[in-house]
Amino acid sequence: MTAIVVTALILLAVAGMPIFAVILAAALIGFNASGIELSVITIELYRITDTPLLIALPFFTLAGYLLAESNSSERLVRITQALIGWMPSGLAIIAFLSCALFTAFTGASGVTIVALGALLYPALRQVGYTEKFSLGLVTSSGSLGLLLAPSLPLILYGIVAQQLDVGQPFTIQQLFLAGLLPAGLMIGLLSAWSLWVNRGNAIPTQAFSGKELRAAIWEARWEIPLPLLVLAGIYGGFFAVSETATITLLYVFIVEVFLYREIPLKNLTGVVQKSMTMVGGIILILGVSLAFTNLLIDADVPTRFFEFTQKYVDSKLTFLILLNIFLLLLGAILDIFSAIVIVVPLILPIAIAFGVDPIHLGIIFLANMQIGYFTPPVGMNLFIASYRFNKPITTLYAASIPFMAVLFLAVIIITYVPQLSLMLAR
Amino acid sequence: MLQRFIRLLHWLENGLLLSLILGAVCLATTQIILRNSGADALLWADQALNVLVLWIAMSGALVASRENNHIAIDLIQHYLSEKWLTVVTSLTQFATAVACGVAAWYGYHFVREEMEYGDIAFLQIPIWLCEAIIPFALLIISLRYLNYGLKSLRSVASNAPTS
Repeated sequence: MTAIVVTALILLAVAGMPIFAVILAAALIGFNASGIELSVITIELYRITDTPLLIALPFFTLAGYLLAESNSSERLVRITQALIGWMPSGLAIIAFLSCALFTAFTGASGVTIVALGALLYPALRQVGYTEKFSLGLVTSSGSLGLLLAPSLPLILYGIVAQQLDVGQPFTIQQLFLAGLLPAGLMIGLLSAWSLWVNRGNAIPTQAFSGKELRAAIWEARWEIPLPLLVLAGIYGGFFAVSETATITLLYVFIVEVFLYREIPLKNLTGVVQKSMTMVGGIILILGVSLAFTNLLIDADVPTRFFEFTQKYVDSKLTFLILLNIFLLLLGAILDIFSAIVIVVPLILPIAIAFGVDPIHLGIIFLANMQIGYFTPPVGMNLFIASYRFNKPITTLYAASIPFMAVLFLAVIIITYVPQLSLMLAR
Repeated sequence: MLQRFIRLLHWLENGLLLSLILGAVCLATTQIILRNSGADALLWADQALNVLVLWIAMSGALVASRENNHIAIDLIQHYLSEKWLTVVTSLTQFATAVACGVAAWYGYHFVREEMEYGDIAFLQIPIWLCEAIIPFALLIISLRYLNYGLKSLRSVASNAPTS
């Protein structure tokens, strides 16, 4: 009976039933089978209000959407170009850096490709990068920066892991610190690879101009304090994370609406709607997953899963290899938010038992998922890029593969060198 | 009549979302100012903020259902013919409607019970009022997906003879 229900639900999920509804249905059926009153769902959903840091989700998301709605992406590219446009492969490195920074704020919702990719792709083509390289770059950079604060998936991992309370506690600040070096490694490897692959290709560089740099800085003068605000607030520990989220949102709102005047007040409803639709979707999945996870715990599923794994996996290394394979596959079919709330409760206790630090697990998890964003056949960024640049999806598959290989190398280093994540955090 | 009601509902959802987020921003800002100016922070504010987030989330989920825009796996969409896709989609939509409907029904009864207990969440606001958004949102989402399912079925039926 259970097998039939599980199969039916998986089929429905694969057929496109909203993830929240699939988990909700599973929880309803499960609770009913265990003879528990179904009002438990409402109790569990309401339990969301006991979650710390929750306010950071809507505030950071709205701030990110406001940034995406304004011309901040243009100013970001201009300023990075003025700073490093003189280097060989400068524009490619500019692209990596600005995408990473932008994604940290917008949470890899596909906005990066739409806002920045549309700006960078023609620029890359114009200075002489091949179509394949340029397309691959913008597609794969759409999720670069997931490991940088204040990215939404990073916060969500923190929330879910803290809810589980499985020993080795950590703060969200530690998680943010942990992401810095791995994100730097990804950008570094991608930049190095871009230099190497374009070595025979005479791409003109832009001469450094102090005047242009000053002009670019002046143009972006209101936005430059923003990363500093987050850095000081989160990494410096001046504010709590929820306070940083509030201040960031207020600051972005004042800057984009009143100082740059790029978002008319009447468009605000639309931006709020778009961003809160996403937040609502994510929190609803989080809520029903809380219920579902409790059901699983009641049924001893994590323990059984744990015993099963221990029977077949005898070392931390084997565990990590299997984890990598599993997460890459998962990332290709499931979006990052659902993956975090559904899978983290199952694998976190096992990871801890194998001696993996929960902070390190979070970084491994997101780094793998980042690749999932453009893994064929269904990586979301492939479709967004295909739509945005009007190219067949197969062209994008081919274009992204080299970038995927480079990022895969980064993921392997991140997975097997825990110090990279833990050096700053622990 | 129905159209007017639906328009009113959309207007209500949009207004609710905007006022909730505005309220949350104001409350969070006040809290920061109080905390940093040495004054006593509002004791109830953190709980109120979390309830506001729940309301924002449920209203956001409502708007997402209006646009049929909930996070889903789109694995087989790219491989099915249009007709089969519509059939499969209507199935998933009915299943969503049933799941949300059942949860809404039990949620409604739970909120009714809470109303009788009359416990207070913060300030003078009772817990049941804070919780009421859950069955309400689930009910509307359920009705919307029921409607989508019926629409999908109808489009299959009207296309069937020609394909």
